[in-house]
Amino acid sequence: MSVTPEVRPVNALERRRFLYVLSEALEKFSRLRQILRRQQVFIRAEHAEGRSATAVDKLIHYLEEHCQMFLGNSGRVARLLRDEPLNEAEERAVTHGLRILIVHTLQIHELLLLLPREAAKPQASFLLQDCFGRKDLQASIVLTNLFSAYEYRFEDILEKVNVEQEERMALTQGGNVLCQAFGDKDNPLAWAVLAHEYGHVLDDHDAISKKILQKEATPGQVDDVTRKVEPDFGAAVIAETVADFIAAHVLGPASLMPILFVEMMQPKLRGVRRISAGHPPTPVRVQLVCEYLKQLGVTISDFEPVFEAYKLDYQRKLKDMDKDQRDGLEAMEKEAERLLSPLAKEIARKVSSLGLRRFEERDLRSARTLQQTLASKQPISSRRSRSQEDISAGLSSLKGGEVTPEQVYAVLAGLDEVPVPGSEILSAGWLYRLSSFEDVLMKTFPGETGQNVDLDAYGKYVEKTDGLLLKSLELADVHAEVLRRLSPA
Amino acid sequence: MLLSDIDIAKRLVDPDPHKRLVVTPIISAKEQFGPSSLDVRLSTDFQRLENMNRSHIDLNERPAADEKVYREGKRIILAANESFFLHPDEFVLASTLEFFRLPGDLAGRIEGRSSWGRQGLLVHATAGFVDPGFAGVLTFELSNAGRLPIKLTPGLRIGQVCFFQMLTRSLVPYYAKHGAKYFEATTVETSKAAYDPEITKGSHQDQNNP
Repeated sequence: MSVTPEVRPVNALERRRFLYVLSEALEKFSRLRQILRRQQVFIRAEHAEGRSATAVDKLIHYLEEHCQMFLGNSGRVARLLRDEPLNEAEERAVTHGLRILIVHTLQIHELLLLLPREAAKPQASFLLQDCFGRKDLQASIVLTNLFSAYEYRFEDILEKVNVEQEERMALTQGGNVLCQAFGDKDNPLAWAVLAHEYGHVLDDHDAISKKILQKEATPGQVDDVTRKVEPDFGAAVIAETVADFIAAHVLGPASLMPILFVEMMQPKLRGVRRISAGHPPTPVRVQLVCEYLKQLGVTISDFEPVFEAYKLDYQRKLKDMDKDQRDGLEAMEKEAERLLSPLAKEIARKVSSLGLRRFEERDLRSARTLQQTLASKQPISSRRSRSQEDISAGLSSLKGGEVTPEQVYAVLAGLDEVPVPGSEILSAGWLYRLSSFEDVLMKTFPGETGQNVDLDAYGKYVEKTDGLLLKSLELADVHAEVLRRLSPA
Repeated sequence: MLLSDIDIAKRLVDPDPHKRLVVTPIISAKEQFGPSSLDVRLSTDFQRLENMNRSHIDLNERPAADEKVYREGKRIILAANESFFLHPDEFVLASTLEFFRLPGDLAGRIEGRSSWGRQGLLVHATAGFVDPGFAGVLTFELSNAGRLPIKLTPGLRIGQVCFFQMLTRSLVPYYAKHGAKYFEATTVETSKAAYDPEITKGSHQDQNNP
């Protein structure tokens, strides 16, 4: 007697979580494939004799091969996208296929550093300068592999690869170095994490977390935490929270987005030993940052769907852990919360007193408007101070022969645009991504059978969005520079 | 019909999206508006064409277009406060800072500015026409016909664009045109002639560069 597998209706939150993971995986895959294809062309152009299979060809082949394994489930993915129920075995197959794609994409990413001719974009430096306005604290950006990405302490990475201390000192002289994942070098949305890393630069310079640790945290409080988890955990989680608050202060809720998407994409939660490189468990970070944003008067409702999906994702992965690992992580979560909750107010006070440009609710409102412009495939670097109607009325009032040039210029000045802050561009970019990726997934997996899958459609969407955001940041940078030149000394 | 300053301004705020002209950002209308044109600025993006490893350019050559770019050019992206030095007889591709979106009944034309021409800077060699329905930044050719290097900085008012209203709307504007190669570009676009059907379907192969 055959048993019909139970068909389960698609839970809306589960579905959303799956789509986020799928979109992040396809994005990473598309970027990686694009970088490798460019490299393939470069090798062919520069080395006519190297037209036979090169290492890059093999990497592309390897990537495509594992992508094909995932695409074996495209019919099920297409059904899931269209809210159709899957049975448990089908769900498992989809998740397994996606994991294979993710794991192999991440593996290949580690080899990207061997490729020549790639550098961090000048727009990334502009974004940091625009957000922080601290010219006294220079920071350069280097491209690293994914596992070392988004670190502030370049010295730590050099130590990991056994570079002698003297050489390390020579290499890191001349400023702070922030590390960015190679695959995200064209991805302004991911640069939100650089604000967190720059937060560490400020923290070290102004000794914020050290002062908090010395003055605010009672010795018993920290010692307890340290004893239960590992040496320096107390100091490290305070430093990470300071950096989180600084990033949220200048960028708003978007500062958390890349962290949550990358974590949702990881097949498993990292155990206590690996996570305790200093970061509090992410749910604690999210909770503290959301409370801080609330204090700043910034709403998080636009990003709430991601927070909800992340919470579910975390709970699921926690449940899948070994009991020992799970207990350890839960204990760590509690300890971090116990230490940080009483200190959050003081951390917020110190961060707010740094004099950085604060991300406000009006920036979020502006980002919502800019999101619509981005959806119409236009850059979003600036806005007019006056409405179209006002300017039209002014233009209609000008009659040839009856007006002076000064009167005409006064009306035309209404067309002048003012640059928007980089934080609004980044927030608009995230809002656009959250509102548009599902439609693109539908186009990528057309029909219910999963035939005619068009992964290039997702690749083009990623490339176009990157291009518009990069152009927007470039425009804002040049716009501000021209205004500086035009302004009286 | 060539649009005047007031016509251009009205098109920029036209309530009808099918008639609205987009040019963004306008940093200073007072500086940028001419009697029948709008000055455009230089972006941060340059593509220098290399000749050291090429004997000649064969317009009928048929390698993948992207390969040609790597083989023949070098891309340079400046920060906003950096400069680019264009040496005598040097030729580079550059693009406007501004992003354009032309409605289906307006065509455009990019020209240099006489102030720079008098110093030997030539802006756009042959491809100054902008189709109705085009969207993106405008790529143009820069060359130094003078005897001294010219310092170029992003944001410099490098040229001007004038607009023509057509008698009727185009039936197939650029955005709908089959094989539109440069639509919605946000950076300098190098030649995509290799995508032309005459070349992609041809069988000619350069003997010097197999």
